[in-house]
Amino acid sequence: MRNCRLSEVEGLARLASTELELKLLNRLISMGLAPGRELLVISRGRSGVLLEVDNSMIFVSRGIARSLSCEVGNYGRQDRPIRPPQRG
Amino acid sequence: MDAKIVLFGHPNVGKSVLFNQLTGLTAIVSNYPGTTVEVYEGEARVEGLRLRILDAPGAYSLLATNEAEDVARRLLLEGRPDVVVQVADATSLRRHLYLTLELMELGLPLILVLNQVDRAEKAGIKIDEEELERALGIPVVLTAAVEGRGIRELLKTIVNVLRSGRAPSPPRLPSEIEERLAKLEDRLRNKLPPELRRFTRALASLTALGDEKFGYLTEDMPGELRERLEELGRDLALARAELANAICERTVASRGRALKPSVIDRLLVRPAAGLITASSIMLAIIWSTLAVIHEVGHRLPSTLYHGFYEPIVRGGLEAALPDGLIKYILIGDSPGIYSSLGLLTTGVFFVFFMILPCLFVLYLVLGVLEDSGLLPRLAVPFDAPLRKVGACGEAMCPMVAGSGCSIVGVFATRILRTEKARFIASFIQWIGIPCMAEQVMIWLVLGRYSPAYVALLYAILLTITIVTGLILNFLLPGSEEPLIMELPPWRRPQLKNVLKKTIVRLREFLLKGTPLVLMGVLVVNLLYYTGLISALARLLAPVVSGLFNLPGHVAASLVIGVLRKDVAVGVLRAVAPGMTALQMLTAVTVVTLYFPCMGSLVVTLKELGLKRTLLMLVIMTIITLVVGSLLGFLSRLYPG
Repeated sequence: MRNCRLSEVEGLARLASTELELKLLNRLISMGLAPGRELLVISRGRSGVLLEVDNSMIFVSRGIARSLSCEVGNYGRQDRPIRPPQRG
Repeated sequence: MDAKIVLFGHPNVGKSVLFNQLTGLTAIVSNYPGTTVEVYEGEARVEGLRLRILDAPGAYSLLATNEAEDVARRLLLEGRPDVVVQVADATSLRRHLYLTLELMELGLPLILVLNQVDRAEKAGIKIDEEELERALGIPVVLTAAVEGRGIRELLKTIVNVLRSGRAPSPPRLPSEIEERLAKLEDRLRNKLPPELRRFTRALASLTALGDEKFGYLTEDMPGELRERLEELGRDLALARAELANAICERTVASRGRALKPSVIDRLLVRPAAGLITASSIMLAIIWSTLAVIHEVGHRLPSTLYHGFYEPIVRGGLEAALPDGLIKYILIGDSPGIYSSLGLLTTGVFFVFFMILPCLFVLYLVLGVLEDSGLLPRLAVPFDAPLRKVGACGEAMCPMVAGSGCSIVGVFATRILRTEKARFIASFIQWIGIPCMAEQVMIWLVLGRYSPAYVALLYAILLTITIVTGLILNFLLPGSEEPLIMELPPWRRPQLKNVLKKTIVRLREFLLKGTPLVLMGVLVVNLLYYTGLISALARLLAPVVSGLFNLPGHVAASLVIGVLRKDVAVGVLRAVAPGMTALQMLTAVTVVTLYFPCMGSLVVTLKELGLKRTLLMLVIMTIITLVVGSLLGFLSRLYPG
């Protein structure tokens, strides 16, 4: 298991922490992106990251994706392959 | 007995479908008092009770981040509902429980509806309804609104809750947070107006989370306490998420996957591929819609008008009425649609044989786009390009709505979170996006020459939009808000729901738009009858004829454009029949650009204020003079 930014994740990850201001944090949590929540990155590009959390699809722009720290690797769930994050 | 019920919940959970199932065809649209946010209201009768049901705008949290969410919250805080029905998506209960916990703090009778239970079942998601009721202390109802499943049970539960009047207790958070919240409640209680005191707990939470609207409650707080307040807000948000998670773990027996991202979804975040995909889809939809409009929305009604309506009405009134003003106003003095300018000829043709059938097709398509889930998806690929012109991806929804009617589009900018984005998105709709009725007229008037001229007009409007947007983005102050957006699952639109929305929208046009269309036709007619048209043409000649190289009588169109742009374009053929293609392009461009219609102007004044509206008008005038002069120069250069 290792930590990286959401903007670098491919595949499954777990949201670890956020460095966002309070209102933005509340918005993320109310949309389902709370720390500890498992998410699946569906696609990522220069504009941001499209992810799946609790059977819902959420797009977060790149700026926010950079502020969200994730855990990737073996943290319990094994039903889908986890690809290592690509940096750069 | 009457009771007020508010449907509350995240966007895209099927709230409107549920609302339609509960209220049938009784729905009316009204603006929330003091705002322009639309709230649907309908009625249901059950067990001798009359239920007034309000469909609140979608909201993720009680901490409002835009005007629409604020209205949703005000429906609860100021509207004093008897029962709040939270509509949640059964496939993603965990995400919705955060809002449930917030709503429980309000102390209003609450029911949790788990909608789309059919999708959840298909995905193998099992929810222990009884355990969920026990955990939350509120009734839970499972529904599949599109199938009409669970509607009776919901109505029965509403009646039971109304009769018992039982409201939930606030959720139990860790004692340390509860203590800090209780202290905050004590501090705030006396500062709150009496009508809000019953919501002290919920307002204490909102204050801790930094709600700007209730910022006045903490104004006299020492700086150190305020810092601790932010800490409390952070702890509170995380504790609620934790509690929601714990409840979900206990109540959702098995978790499957209900989401199937499509290839389109995967492409959306890639800048070039996303833009090409979204633009191709939009263009395909626009072109096929226009083809349908041409056949169904224009050819058929025209045949009906010429074959049946005109001979009966004109033939009858010609014989029955003596020559004079009344006859002139009703049927004009010549038989052609565009040259008659009578209320019962040109006026009725515009409304019932031209605009209405076309709007029916266009609103139907818009309804399908909304319900299929495509519309919100456009926000993702267009976010980056729109940010360059000062707006953002979320502005795509108001802009597509604005292609129906800019009044609706300007209203819809309330979902945008910064003033700058609202200003620019509204301005783009004024100058770059003709309303549907006007677009229909453009196709009929300018398309007669060649579709290439229509394409050229759109290219001109797009260029103006981009250049003006870039300049405004550079000049206007204001920061950007990052985009976080939920993309709803792809759905097959329900014909009943789409038809109902279409009918409600057409009814709005008939009530609000028809008088203006008829008034527009009447004004042009009277300008001719009184001879004022010649005086007006002389007055505006230096600009209309001098700069734009247009016949002086086009001035009549400019007067009408203040009332209705579609009529202004439509009567161009009547007021200046001998124009060349380039002159017609100039005239249509000028009519589109020079001024918004009255309805749009009033809404923008209300929404953005006098200063910003005046600024928009000044910029529009400058653009019109520059573009009109350039096109006028071209039409002089190529007079054929």
